[in-house]
Amino acid sequence: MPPGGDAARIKRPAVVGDVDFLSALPDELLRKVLSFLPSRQAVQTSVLAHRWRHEWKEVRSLRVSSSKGFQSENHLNKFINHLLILRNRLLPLDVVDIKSYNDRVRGFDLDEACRYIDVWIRHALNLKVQQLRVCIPSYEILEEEGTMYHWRLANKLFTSKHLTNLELICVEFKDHSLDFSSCPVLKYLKMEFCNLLVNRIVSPSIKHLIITCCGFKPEARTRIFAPSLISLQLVDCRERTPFLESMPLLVSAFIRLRNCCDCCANSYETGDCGSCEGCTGSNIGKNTCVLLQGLSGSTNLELTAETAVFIFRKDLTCCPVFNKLKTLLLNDWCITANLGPLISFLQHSPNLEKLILQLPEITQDLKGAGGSYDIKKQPFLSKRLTVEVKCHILDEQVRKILDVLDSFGIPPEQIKILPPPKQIKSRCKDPWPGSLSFEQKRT
Amino acid sequence: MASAGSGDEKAAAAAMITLISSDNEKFEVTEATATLSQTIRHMIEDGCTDGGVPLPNVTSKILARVIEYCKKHATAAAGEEGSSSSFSDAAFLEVDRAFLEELEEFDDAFLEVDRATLFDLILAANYLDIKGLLNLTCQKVADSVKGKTPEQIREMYNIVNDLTPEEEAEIRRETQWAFE
Repeated sequence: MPPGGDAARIKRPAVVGDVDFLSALPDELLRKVLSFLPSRQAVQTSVLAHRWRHEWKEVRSLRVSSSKGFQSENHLNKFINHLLILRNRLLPLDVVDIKSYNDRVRGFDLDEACRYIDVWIRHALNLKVQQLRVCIPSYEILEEEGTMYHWRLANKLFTSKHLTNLELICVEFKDHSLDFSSCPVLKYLKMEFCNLLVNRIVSPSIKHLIITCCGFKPEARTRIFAPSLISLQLVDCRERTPFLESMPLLVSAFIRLRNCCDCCANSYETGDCGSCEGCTGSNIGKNTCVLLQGLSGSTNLELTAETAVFIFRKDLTCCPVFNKLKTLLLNDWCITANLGPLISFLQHSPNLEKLILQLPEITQDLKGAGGSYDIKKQPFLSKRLTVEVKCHILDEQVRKILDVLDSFGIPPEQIKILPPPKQIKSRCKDPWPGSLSFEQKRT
Repeated sequence: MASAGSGDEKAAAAAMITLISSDNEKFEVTEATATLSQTIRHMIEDGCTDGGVPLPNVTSKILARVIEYCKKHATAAAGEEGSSSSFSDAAFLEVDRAFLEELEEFDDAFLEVDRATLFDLILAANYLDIKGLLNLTCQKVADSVKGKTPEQIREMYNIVNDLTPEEEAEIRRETQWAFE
């Protein structure tokens, strides 16, 4: 090729700053760029020049994730309805991201703002949406009063051969089963601030599940059936902690139990006082593991809970075995009078490599169940175990833990004492120390 | 010893692909790096990469940048081939968080280029069918106009308004629902 051939072919003006790179893009790529813009702005590009007049109609996304610029719930609804009718209706919508109208200052009518939510979701599913996010942001104005409204969606709403990612914020499901079996390629499911008042959540296909600040049923345990799951986050959910069915492919799980009702009012270690609401209503059979059996095949576990929450301790009395477990983070809940939960956990994790213990500033006393854990006299099986203890001060409690670990074959040189983790801000009210902190580099 | 050495070289060479830019510069890359491009992946599958892969639409300057991107992302993409969605499994396994942060920093720094280069990267990503790079670069352009009025966008990108005032008024009437 002769030198300068390119320059000769593509005639560029002398001053590069004057080139209209955007309009020079082929249609397909211009539409791709537009697909990343908020839809309102994408439509507004129709007045730029002739070239742009109809481009927005060929965009494969719908993005209305902010009420900014819309005068009212009616204007936002009108916008989405017009867009859906006037765009090229044969063209699939790959990405749909809808946040219903909200205005903290002006206030708004939730019923009106959500009037078309079902229709839009159905429409998006018909147009083969792959990534769908629906947010009903009522919590932004109502969290101060402690009341949150949730928009009820039909349990059978989600049926699609194309949906891969689904994110739902502030919606509610009720009755029997929230079943995603009709979404065979769904891989990622995230639910935040939702009310999940269902008996079962079912998805044979999801690989990643995030449930944050959701409310389950107070009177019965929701069962989660997701046998393809690779990662799970279950964070700060209200009412009864859900029951996890078998998850043989699980690699990582992050569980944080706060604000739930699986607590004993009489401070019984394993929730068996027999008189308080938390214990009597918990519906756990003597040999039933709520979380840990389902998590037992995982490689990385981060299990944190308020001291009062008895789920993990109760689970450990059933002796699940963690054969693949390599990294484990525990906090306040495992510190009991005889450290039974901690010792039992370590004795049933033969391949554990790293244990991180986040100790509470003040230990709460629990009424013993020290004898209910399966503790053998022999040392821990894992030979390479290193321990990090994160604590505020090196006090009696820490020394006791070090002594106990030593007696089970972990000498002090394998233990590092570190300062407590930073307080991180949770979206649910108060801060909570540490989270998502496996501190392990990719190998 | 010598024979062992040449054996290693042979194995390494077998996994290498030569890419040839429009200005005839040759780039040796591993197959794992090259196959981030679906276009090149198909050529490899069809067995037509002997003697190098000519890429007449991509200059050496842009190809070097594209390869830089692919090298960094090849490891992250392992096991994700053919995945149609834009997220990766690794993103949800907390053990990989440090690496993903590093990847994000890399992407941010990678996009610090002049406008001509950015648009050349879009065209190259499209031609080579590298989904991640195409999304990244198109998103960058979209971000640059986000929140701007049509007038500001015209000025920013030197878009010549070839509409008569009557035509523009008509389009605004047609799409009034998007301006309210």
